[in-house]
Amino acid sequence: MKSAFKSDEWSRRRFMEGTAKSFLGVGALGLTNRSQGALGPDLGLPERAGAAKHIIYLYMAGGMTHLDTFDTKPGHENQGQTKTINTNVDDLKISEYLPALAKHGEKLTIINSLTSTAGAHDQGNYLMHTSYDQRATIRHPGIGAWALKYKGRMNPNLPGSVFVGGNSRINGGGGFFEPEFEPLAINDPQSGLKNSKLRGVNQETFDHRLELAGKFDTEFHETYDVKQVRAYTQMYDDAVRIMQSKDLQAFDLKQEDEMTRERYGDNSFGQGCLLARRLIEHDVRAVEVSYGGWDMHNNVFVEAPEKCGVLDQGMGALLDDLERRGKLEDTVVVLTTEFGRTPRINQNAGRDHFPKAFSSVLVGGGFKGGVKYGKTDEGGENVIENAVKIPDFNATIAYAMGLPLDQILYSPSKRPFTVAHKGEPVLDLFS
Amino acid sequence: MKLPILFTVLFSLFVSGLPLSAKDNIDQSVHGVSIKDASAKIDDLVAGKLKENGIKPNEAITDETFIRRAYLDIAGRIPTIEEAENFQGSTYARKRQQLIRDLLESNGAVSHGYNFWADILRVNSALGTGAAQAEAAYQLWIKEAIKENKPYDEFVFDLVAARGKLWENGAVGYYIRDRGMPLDNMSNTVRVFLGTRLECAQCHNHPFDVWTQMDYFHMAAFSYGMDARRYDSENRKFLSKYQRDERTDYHQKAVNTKGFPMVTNMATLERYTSDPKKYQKYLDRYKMNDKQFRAAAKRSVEAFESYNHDTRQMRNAVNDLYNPLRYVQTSETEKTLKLPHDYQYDDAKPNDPVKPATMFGAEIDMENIDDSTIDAYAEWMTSSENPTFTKIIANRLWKRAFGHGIFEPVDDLTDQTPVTNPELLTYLEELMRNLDYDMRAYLEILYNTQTYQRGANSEELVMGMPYYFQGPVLRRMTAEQIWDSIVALALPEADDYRPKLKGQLSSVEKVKRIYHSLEDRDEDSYIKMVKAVAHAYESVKPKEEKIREKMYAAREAEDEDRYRSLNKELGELRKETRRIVSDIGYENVGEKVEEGELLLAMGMSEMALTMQDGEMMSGGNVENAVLTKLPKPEMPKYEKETAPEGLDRAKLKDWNRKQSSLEKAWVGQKKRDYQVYTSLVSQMARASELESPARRGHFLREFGQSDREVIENAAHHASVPQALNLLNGTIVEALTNEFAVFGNRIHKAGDPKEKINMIFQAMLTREPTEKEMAIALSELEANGDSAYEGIVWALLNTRQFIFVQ
Repeated sequence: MKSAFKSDEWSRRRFMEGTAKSFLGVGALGLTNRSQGALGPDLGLPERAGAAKHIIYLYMAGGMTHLDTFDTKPGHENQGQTKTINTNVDDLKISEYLPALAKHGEKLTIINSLTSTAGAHDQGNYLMHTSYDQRATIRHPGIGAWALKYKGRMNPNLPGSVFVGGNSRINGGGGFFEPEFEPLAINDPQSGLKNSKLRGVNQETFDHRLELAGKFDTEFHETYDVKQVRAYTQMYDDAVRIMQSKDLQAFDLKQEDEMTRERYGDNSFGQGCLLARRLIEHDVRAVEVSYGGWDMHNNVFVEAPEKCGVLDQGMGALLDDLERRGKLEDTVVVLTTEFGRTPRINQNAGRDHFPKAFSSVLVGGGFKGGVKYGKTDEGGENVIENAVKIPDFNATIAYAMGLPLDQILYSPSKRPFTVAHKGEPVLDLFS
Repeated sequence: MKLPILFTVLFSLFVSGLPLSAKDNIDQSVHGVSIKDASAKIDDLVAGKLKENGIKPNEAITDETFIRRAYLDIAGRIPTIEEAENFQGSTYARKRQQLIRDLLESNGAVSHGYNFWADILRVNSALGTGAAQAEAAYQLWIKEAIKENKPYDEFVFDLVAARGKLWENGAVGYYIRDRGMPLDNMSNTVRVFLGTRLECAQCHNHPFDVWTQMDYFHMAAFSYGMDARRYDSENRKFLSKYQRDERTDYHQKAVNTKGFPMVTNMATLERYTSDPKKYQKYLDRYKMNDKQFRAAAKRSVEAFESYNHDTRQMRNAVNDLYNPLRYVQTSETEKTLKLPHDYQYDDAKPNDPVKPATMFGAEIDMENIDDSTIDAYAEWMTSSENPTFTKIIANRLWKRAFGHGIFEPVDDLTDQTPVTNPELLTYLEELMRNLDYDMRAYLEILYNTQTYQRGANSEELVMGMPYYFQGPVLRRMTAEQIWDSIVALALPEADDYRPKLKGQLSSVEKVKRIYHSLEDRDEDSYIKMVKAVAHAYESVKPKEEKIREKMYAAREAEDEDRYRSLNKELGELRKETRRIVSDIGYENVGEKVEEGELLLAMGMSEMALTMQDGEMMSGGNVENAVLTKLPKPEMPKYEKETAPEGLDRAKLKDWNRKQSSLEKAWVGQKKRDYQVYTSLVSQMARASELESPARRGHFLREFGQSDREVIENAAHHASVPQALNLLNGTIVEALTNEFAVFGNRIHKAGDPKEKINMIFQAMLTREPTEKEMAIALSELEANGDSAYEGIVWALLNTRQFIFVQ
């Protein structure tokens, strides 16, 4: 056949099936640069026994000070105003600003020996999210997108991955993967999924208008019965289904009682943590909650307690609930940031960027809990034991989720990439 | 200057470029190339290939389809009702040709062209602190280049060889965009303009192509010296000199011994004393004993500390003063590129320096170039002799018109790349050269082909299968086309409306003035100024410290109120610091930018028009008029009815009461509509005049606008958030709002049939079919006036609205 087109029934059917499965998007035009990757929407690897299914990624944008959170140095001149308190685990001490997390000491796997090579926000943020250096020639996927790629979406009615936060730009989104791996972005957790509610009309009018649109479009559909047009029709069906779906409630924080909402804190991070919990419970694979404002060049002892207060309350409540609901085994909770802050206090009573040594926390997903891993020197300035590089950190998360660390996937430009960029997982952290 | 209503009509015709029947025969040739012959030649070449493959070309399209497609492809939006009526009503024989030319010269085409290039060049207005002015200048430069139809070879040359300050040459944004990433910048340059993917070869020989890592570094060496990093002032040397002098002065006074070394802390003292032999020499030299030497050293350390303390505010001042000048220029420097430390091939050693050398085409004799390496490089790249330069743009613009390239992807041309119609490509390449890289003329020829004016392809294209162009490819509108179409329906003169222009101009002007106020000083006045700022800091900075201490105490005491009020005080002090810098350092120049003058400097004038009385004002230069503010629509007045005659008192009272509640409801409704207008409609502008790209969550981003992080990253895929947006978003409200242009027209139109016609014309650029009219009328019968909104909603949610036929 000389025609440039294929229109056999089999491929059409297969296409329709593919569309029905995907929530967030299908290639409307199979001709763009992005769609050249030979990869299917997801690889559907079997779940490794014991591997976590979900990830909740709490990102402290701006550079979370390690000395005033999880790597305090009592008695050292670098410490400044911040005091150290005990947790419910002997010898596991953290900052006084984190009293709620101190009650979860047995769940916390604290890494004090992270070390990064990127000292600017954007580059550091990008590296932490993707394990790769920021490039102007490619976008790398984040850990959530990798998890989706390998293991697929769990709830066909909901997106596989959700980003909660006000940033205009998401690092570690879908990267060079197909558009459906891009996280659905929620700016304000309290307002739920945008445009999912009827606007100024009742259901009857809505249905009627939809029917009207169909009538006006009849001829067009007859002329252009092609994939990209049908894809849109399918998306409309999906959209209408979602509007009526029970799963939509996952986005609605009003389903929670007043007390629960208060417990997480009356702020976007706290409510974001609550939304993350609800989404995970509705089988969303990956949720990131981003919380900015950690760039404390000035007045660190004024700002850190404020930020920590919000973090502590939100994450504390999240861990409470995940534990109570038995979701901690199959969920990895990550608390991380792009870099730490200079242990030496600067002239503006602040701390500057410090990629050389900083801290992060892993919870659930088979991690030991109640331990600190790695060490910095007495001033918190150098890693002196068990340094963990960014790719190693991400490999550890990927390992917890049962993702194949050495499997190579190719970008549309035919460049090879792996989850966590050949990092080595820190196996000591698993129980 | 107030102009009569007639002028307004003429003006809007001018803007939409459509006095079709009035114009004489338009010029038939460009750069000596006959448009007719060239487009016929293209049609022949396409027809030949189609015949060879036994494929029939698609049917020719109607005027209705043509005008919608032409507006979308060239001006980036659907036509307004008037524009469509003008065209359809014209009897001029060459009206399609005329429309193509007018649209190509319109401001709409500049806006649409900007989106096209912004996706390719990754123009991003959120590039971090200090880069905003550079991005503004860069955007303005690109728009201006499109407007003046800068030939492609010059356009590329000016970008690749861009040097200077951002206010002298906005093209320096090309390097500032990628500051700190010179290698990536080179990969992108070569990919975009030469269609060669080199990025793999940055780390190793290219696995699928012929390029070696050495080729990569040879190429990178050309632009490696392009320096767009943090601006370093020449004046700093005045300051260093001053500081050196001060330091010496403090030291001399303290030690009072000529030539005694400067000791900054007691640890460095070791350097002198550790070796007894050397130490003895020192002691002899200064005629001191051990105790005296140590005492003098101690005084030197103390002198250093007090020097440090006394000049601390000067250092703070300088840092703050130069904050706005971080990224103001690109310059060519001599910088040697070295091979990576892990270079693994035999032809050179790791860390060897690399000389520039071209990867293909003509060689550049580096010994015999004028002094600029980058000029030589840009010349080589943009030469008509360059093996790929012309091909790439010929094919890229072909794809822009037809939706698919003669080879794909348009920026990955290797020896193995299949070219579906090589004769056509060869001809187009030649045509591009003959047109002296005039992109507008080239596109004019493409749009005038019969091939372009055929039905959109209704079958599915399959990756890797050749397409022979039986017509253009059916495309979903880009995010910008959908958005801009809605904007053009809602706003008057949407193509000329540039709400951010003044702000962008004045931010560029401001940074320029700051630059001059700092850099045009001689040594004395410079030092004096820095000292003055530092001096003013003395009275602010210690206060800051004190407040901080109080804040700690307040926190200890858990006194939230006090804490908050102290925090506010701290904020005030920071404001004070900024004021000091602006007052003393910039001599307030930044505050006094006259925006109107800036427009004039750009050869533009401001235009204002009011919708209500149909009058407009202009600064005189109509062609370059820019609408920087939307006209404020007037509140309509309620027309009271007169009471019917013969009512008795009680009935009249009743009637009056009813009337006044009607009026109240009416006024309330208008107020609500007006609120919707100010919160929705008046926030709109064409995509090119918003942030580049729009913020996440914006309509544009949901419909796939590129994030402008990587080359051509726009998406055309269906997604649920898109459907939800059209189903439940605010677009219908914005469109049907009485104060918006389209809503106003529906509102004012007389009979229902006219309204329905108008809605179909506006949304779909066609009349409703009889069947559709019947459906719409029965809607009206069932739902009254709310049916209009329902019809707009329904049409917005059809596929024919968002696909370009």
